[in-house]
Amino acid sequence: MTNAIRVRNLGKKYKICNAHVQYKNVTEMAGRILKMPYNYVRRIMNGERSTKESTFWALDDINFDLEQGSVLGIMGRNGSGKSTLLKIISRIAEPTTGRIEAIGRIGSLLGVGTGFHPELTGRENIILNGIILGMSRIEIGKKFDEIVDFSGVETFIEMPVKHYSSGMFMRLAFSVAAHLEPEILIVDEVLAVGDSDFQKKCLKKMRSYHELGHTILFVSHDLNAVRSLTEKALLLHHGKQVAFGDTESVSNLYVEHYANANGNGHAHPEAREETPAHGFNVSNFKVEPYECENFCSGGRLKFSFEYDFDREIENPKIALAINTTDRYNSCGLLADSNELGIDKLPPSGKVVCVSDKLFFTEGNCTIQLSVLEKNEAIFLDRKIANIYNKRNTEIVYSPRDWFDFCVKCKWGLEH
Amino acid sequence: MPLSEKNTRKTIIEPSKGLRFLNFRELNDYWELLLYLTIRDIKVKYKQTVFGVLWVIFQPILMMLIFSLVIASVPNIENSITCPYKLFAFVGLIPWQLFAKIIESTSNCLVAEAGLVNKIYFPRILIPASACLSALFDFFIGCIILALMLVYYKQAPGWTILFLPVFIILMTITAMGIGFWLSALNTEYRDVKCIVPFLLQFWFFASPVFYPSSIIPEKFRFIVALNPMSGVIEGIRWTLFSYGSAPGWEFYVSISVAFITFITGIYWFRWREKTFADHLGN
Repeated sequence: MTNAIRVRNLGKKYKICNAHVQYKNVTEMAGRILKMPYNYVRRIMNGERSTKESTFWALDDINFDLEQGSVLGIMGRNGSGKSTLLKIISRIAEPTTGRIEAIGRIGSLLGVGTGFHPELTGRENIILNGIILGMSRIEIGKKFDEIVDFSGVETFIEMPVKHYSSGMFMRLAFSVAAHLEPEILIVDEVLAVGDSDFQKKCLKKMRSYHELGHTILFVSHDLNAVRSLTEKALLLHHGKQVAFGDTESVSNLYVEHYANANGNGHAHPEAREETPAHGFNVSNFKVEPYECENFCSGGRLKFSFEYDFDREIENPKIALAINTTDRYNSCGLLADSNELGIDKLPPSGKVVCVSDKLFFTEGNCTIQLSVLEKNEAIFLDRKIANIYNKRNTEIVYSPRDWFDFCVKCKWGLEH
Repeated sequence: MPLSEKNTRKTIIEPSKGLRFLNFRELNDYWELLLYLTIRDIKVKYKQTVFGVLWVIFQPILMMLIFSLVIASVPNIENSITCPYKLFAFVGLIPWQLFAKIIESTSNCLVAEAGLVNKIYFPRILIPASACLSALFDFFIGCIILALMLVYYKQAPGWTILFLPVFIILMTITAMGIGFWLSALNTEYRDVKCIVPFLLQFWFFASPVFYPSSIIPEKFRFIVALNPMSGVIEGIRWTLFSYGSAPGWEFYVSISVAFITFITGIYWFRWREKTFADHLGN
């Protein structure tokens, strides 16, 4: 396979526009000029050679090759340089260093409805937007009916789009974008706005692109979308390339080290949110399918673990929470002493919890276990296990140290 | 698109070095975009107005009436004109409006199209170019009215009308050159937006739109020649109804100024275009 995109040593430097560094109007400028000798002398005294601190690298030394027909997910937290990278590849911004070689037409969808004019009718906007996105007039003519069909706004097609509802507007705008067929498609997360139907349509369309052998670069904070759509992923952090490789390992790295890193955004691989101090030990945590052979969405799950502690636990509560990548406690399985049928939890034993039917959406979720004594946590592990539901076709369960134990199965849909 | 039809053109993205002129091969790929951006401008311009495109006609006619009211009371000027003043003023106003319109719309066009500049790649020069083309559309409608006026005043153009396109091109080139400069500057310094109205006002009075350039003293002739609009307006009067004399040496000065503005404008625009997305923000 030939490479569709080769990125070498790519960097983008920005000036930081703050009042100390740049002046934009005459009054500020006059002030700066008056102070200039003073600042200059001070800089010399401090041994600073230049105003080096006034620039920063939004991207620094990015290198990767992408084969034709592959789908690349670009991950990273806000401000990690994802959008800058897309802007450079789509030639909107110019790199400061490095080189990109790309083969084929590059089409970028960095925003839905770019170039739409509210005063023009739906029909006029389809043509205009199509041409702006890089289609030829003939191409648009051929696809026009298909676009209108896809959008579902045919009755309003002769109406200025300013009278459209925002939903209709989005549908029409996306329909045009969806019929753009460049060899290399660049999609920013803006596509993920809109309702879930709209998002599904986006993803479906992108999958069909992939099947046709187009190369796609895709940015999203939605890890599920990235995981289900892409084979390769690039992880950026503060403009630097942290990892490039298969999506599974890169996204795990991202979830583990970067996704929830708080504060200044530095990665703390060791920081796990646990309360080990109380000496409550949990072992053998297991998730098993219950009353069915395989893991499947809509089936029942059996959670079990063994524990030991130095004493009995009064008024115990045990909580299992199912967390998704973007939400804590999206589902909870809570047991208090009533439900456990005891007042005190013996110092050691095995707890079993059989859930009712659980329906998982596509993507990754983690199991959180917490044990409370008199409403005070004596044990908390936010990631005691992991359940990963890929494209609604298979489910993978793994204990904390990834894939020691996996079960795969086909999902069935029942109505 | 099937694999066999795949476009295998190679794109190389690198930091640009040095000055660049227009990339004609690329512009050739984007002519449709230029056309449709222009059509959009024309369609949108008079949307939600009662008179619509008729405003293209009303504007110069109203201006002409104002000037003929005001100037009629200044005996010196009217006496020095050997043709009906209304015609004289209209012939000056139509090209002036084109010129002013091009500068006004091009200087603001990149900021107005920030959404496009930030989201889609295409040769940036198409934005001011399409603003200019849509102004030319107004101009050609104005020319139809001008032709009717010539018929009304029974002024038949002679062979000199063959030179008319030369003057129109000269004027367009000057305006575009200035437009390229101002539009690129405007992305970084929005002062441009505030200066342009004064610049145009001043330029209007400095050009022989409502007065003949013959009232300007001889010693200022060179300064007048530096203004391509003065040569153009006088020239158009000469081509249409042989008013005044054929352009002399001043015309060559005007041509030089026009081309210098145009060529440097393109170089400047191409040099600054890499920073547009950075300055326009999201």
